[in-house]
Amino acid sequence: MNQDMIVFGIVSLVFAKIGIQIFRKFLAGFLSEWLLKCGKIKWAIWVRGQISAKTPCSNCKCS
Amino acid sequence: MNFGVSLNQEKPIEIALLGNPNCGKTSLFNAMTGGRAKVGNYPGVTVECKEGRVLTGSGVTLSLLDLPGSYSLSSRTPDEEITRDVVLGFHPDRSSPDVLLAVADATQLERSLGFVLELRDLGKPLVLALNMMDLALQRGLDLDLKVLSRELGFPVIPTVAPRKRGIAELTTELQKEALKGRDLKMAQSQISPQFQKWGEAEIKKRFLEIDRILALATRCLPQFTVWTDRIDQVVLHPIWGSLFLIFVLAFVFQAIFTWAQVPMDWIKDSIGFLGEVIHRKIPEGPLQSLLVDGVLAGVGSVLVFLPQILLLFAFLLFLEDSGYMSRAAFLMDRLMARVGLHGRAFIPLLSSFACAIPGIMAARTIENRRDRLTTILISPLMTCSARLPIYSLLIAAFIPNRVILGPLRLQGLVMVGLYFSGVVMALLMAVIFRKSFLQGANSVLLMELPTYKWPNLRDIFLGLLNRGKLFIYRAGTVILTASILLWFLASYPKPLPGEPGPAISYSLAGQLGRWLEPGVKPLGFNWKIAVALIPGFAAREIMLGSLATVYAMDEKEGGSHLLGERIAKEWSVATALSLLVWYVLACQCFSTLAVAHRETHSLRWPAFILVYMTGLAYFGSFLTYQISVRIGLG
Repeated sequence: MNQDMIVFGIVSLVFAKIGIQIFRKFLAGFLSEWLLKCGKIKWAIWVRGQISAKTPCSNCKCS
Repeated sequence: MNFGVSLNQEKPIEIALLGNPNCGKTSLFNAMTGGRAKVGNYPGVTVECKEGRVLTGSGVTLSLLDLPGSYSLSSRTPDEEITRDVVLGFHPDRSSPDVLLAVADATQLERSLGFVLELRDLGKPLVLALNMMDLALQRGLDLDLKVLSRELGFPVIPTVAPRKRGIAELTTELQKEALKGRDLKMAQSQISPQFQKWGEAEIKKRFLEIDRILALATRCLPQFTVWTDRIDQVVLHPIWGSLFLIFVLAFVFQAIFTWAQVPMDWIKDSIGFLGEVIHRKIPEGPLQSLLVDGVLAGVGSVLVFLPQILLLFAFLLFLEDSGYMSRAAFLMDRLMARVGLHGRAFIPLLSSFACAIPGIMAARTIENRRDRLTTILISPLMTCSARLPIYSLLIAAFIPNRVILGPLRLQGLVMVGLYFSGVVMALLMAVIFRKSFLQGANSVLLMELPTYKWPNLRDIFLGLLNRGKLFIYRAGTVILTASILLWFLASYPKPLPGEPGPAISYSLAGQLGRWLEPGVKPLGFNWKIAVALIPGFAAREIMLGSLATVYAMDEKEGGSHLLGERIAKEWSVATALSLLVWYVLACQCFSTLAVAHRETHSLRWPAFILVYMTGLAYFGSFLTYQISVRIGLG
């Protein structure tokens, strides 16, 4: 496995992580509402479950 | 609803910790759960519910809920509302607790009993933990606890939370009370009338009852230490107290600069060594570049400042726990009132020196809505710990380490100056807000001054350990992600063979930086600073890592420890000063905006914070750079 492939893998993981966080914070709510309207209840519940309940800050002790 | 709980546990026994601020609830919570909740000696530290579990010797699980300090269930502030709602079972996320654990400061029993008697009237199972018994005994207090328990009608357990004394007896009594249960009908019939109709007659009756109980239960009254009053004569003096406060702050910031130097050098050397190992083991190529110029440069440049962050928190925790912070808040009340702020705002603003997020949350202790909103709007201007790394880097690179007076050096003084300018801007903005769209009368400050005590070193150590873990976690997640992303943007696309100029100028980051450069050139910023500022808007500490990555990609001469030297060669003093002013004034933390949104229940106010602070930062940096160039610093 050459260096280019390893770097590509690492960078892809980072982009994927950022994409998932953006999806959870901004898109999951809208998507689950739309799925509910379309009658796809199980999918809507699954998507809703992906929304993170954590507070945005990890740099202080607050709940 | 039945308060009796079977020991055949399907769910834990829910216990709510209640009491006046500063009575040691959180310290008791930590002692019982081994938890890491922050312990502070002024109101406003606990503004959220904190939960922990205790497994007793008999295998019973207690779920402990540390509630914000309250003086009464007739709530006047948002944090007291939380306590009231949880106790009465009105909180949407929490069921009514099975047992109430009231915590009282044994040295201030008269003040604490008012709230305790209110809780007694609810008719729920109740236990009183008489905390700080060691201090009370030192002062000569002699209480007959059996008489006190008999007169109050529920168990009273003496505790010394920091030393975990009385904890075993307390958990035993809590289990017993949970098993007994109380008649809920009596509680339900008394809840609404008790809180709606308290008048002068009710209050007088309450105080007479307290006097009667204490007269029966007290064998000898405490002698309050004369030395506490003697210290306060100086510390609360308008002139000597202010001078003392300035001295304390100057000492703290000078110490942060001086004492952290050795551990910072160790970390720098370790990162440099790691870089050399990578150079030896991994052949030249994109992976080596990613690890050295991306990861090590980015994350390492932030990790280096861990000793300074820990020192800052150590001092803040020490001052909090000793009882000095409340005095400082009292001193500042006169100054705060002149700018239209409530004296209680000092505590959230002081918390913001660590991080604006708990500072904004601590504003819940302010009753008046306008005072609270003003405090939230100006909290991000207080220099938080995330700004410290960039301040340290720029001061070390551009300010000579000249001796000014005794141990005071120019670098330490500049650091104090930066913190001071954040405070001045915050107060100035408070005046503007209070004279424009947040007009209203000032409310009076009424605050308890806790007695002085030697800080609990265990609590300070736990606080620092927690802070250190959070800092490293953030470096390993957010900053690592940003560093890798920025490395990618600064590496690709690569220039074609033979093309002139550094490779980074052909990359996406370089092109973006060039596009942004005209906008930031009047501030003295180059395209590299412009590129680093973008991720810096998400979180301040990212900017330092981003800057290190961009410079590492440009020069390819080594790791992050050369960043200070590189910028010292490339930037003028005017640019450095301009960037410092930008950092003092700009809002570069999405998390702060998110909490402001949560606390104000509106998108308008966080948007306002972002806009006004960015505008202030741009204008301030522009002025600083232009003036600095004209006086020959350019």
